[in-house]
Amino acid sequence: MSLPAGLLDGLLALLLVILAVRALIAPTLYQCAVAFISFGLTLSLAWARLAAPDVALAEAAIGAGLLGVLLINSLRDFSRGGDDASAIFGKDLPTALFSRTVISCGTLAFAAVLGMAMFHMPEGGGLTALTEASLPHSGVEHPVTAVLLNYRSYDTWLEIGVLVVAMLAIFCAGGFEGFRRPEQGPDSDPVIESLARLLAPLMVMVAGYLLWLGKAYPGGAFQAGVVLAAAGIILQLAGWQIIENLSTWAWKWGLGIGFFFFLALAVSFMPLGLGFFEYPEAWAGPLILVVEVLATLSIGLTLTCFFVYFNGMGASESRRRTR
Amino acid sequence: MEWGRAKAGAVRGRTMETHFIYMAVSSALFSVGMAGVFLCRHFFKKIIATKIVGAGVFLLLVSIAERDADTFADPVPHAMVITGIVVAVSAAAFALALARRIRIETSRASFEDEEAAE
Amino acid sequence: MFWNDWITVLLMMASGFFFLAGTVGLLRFPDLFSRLHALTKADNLGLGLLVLGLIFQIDSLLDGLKLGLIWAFALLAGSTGCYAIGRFFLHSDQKVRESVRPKEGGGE
Repeated sequence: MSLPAGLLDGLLALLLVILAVRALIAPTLYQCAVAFISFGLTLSLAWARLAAPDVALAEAAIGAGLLGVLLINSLRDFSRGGDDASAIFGKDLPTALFSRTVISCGTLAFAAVLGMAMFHMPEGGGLTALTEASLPHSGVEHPVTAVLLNYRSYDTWLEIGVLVVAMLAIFCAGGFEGFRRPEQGPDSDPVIESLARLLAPLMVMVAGYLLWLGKAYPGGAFQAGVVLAAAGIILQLAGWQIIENLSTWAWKWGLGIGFFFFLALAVSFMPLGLGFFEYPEAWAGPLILVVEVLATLSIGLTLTCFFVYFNGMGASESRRRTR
Repeated sequence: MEWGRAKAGAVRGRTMETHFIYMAVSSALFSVGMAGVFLCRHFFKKIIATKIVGAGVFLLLVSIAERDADTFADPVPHAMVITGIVVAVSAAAFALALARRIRIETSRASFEDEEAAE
Repeated sequence: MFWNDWITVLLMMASGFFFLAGTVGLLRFPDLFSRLHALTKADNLGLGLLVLGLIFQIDSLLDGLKLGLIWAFALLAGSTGCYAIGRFFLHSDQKVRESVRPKEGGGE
């Protein structure tokens, strides 16, 4: 390993651990959230160093970007009433210095044991050779896309299902009353609105580009879906209220279409004697593209709904309280 | 494909120790996250702590993929981690929604927050 | 090393200087607006020089275009973000304003 590369990895490693600790012991929740977002972005640099650009894209977009937005959006509920993160550790621990020393030592020892176990893991060789051998039959050229949408499409299908279920669970947890237009629109700001006007079409274009790129290069449905969701969130922040203006029918079907089309595709070739989620080789490429387009739409819509619903949670509560 | 191969050459050239560093980081992150899950009281911090535990696990998976790289890094763990990131974020969003609902209904911000509950 | 590598190194070092200066300003400046000022300097000049340095390393025009676009988008997002933060600060109440002021003796 060359020295500059080692230095970079070492710095990233140090930064990751510091940010992780900082995200848990920062004095205010806002600082925790910011440290966590920085942690996610640093982590995506680490993915890039580990030759995993697909993961880096997904982490930067979903792990740091979208979850960061949701975390900061939730802060206004938790920061109300002067509550902050002052109560970090349990009450029954003795003096702060003592408990901190014990906790640090314990954590370090645990990490050391875990690290030893990791270094003794057998080198199995992985599935790289197998993946590469079947790549010509998969319909795409990028190995990660091949795994996601052909070899292990079962996982990807269920993952889209998890997104839909999470959306429903969030509706249940928060008490869903339907997306409705607020009586008065949010104060629209000329600068932010012009940014949204400029960026949103470009982001839709970038999403399409990432989707198309996924065939042969890092990229694909998830990354494209999140970029689409980011466009939706920017429009929402500029006061466009796209989700509220969609008919119930439209967003319900939009949420489910990726999942159901994937399912339909999985069973549609079974009468021809193929297995569940087995595509005819000649059609694999186009079919994967169609699935990816619909999955991107579904993912983008679901993640935008996450944000819109989170954003509306506090608002509906304040409406209820003022009533 | 071209890209994968060119990249894999670079990976072979510089590898050796890179994944060791990140394996060590992954064990550290897992431990820090676990400490956070057990010791942090605030819901918000517990959620962040679970995300850090998840990051540690993902880092281990991708480090192994890089260790076992042949012509390109093993794509199966990569795909698993992409799936995992999305699922983890969905779960965290659900947890946040629950925590907010608890906060709104009872004005509690942690499980031990008894004085706020009455 | 060819001549373009030397130019890249030079530009990268200049960009590093601006990022460093911006970070120091962010940490040490007394109020929110001068901190934002320091931050945008780092974004605009630091990232601009970085992109300019990388342009000497590419072999197709398309890659250069993409790099330039990245800089343009970072500029757009950065300045709008600064505007949003400044606007929030101007419209906020006394409590928020006091919370961003550093402690006596120049920050942490």
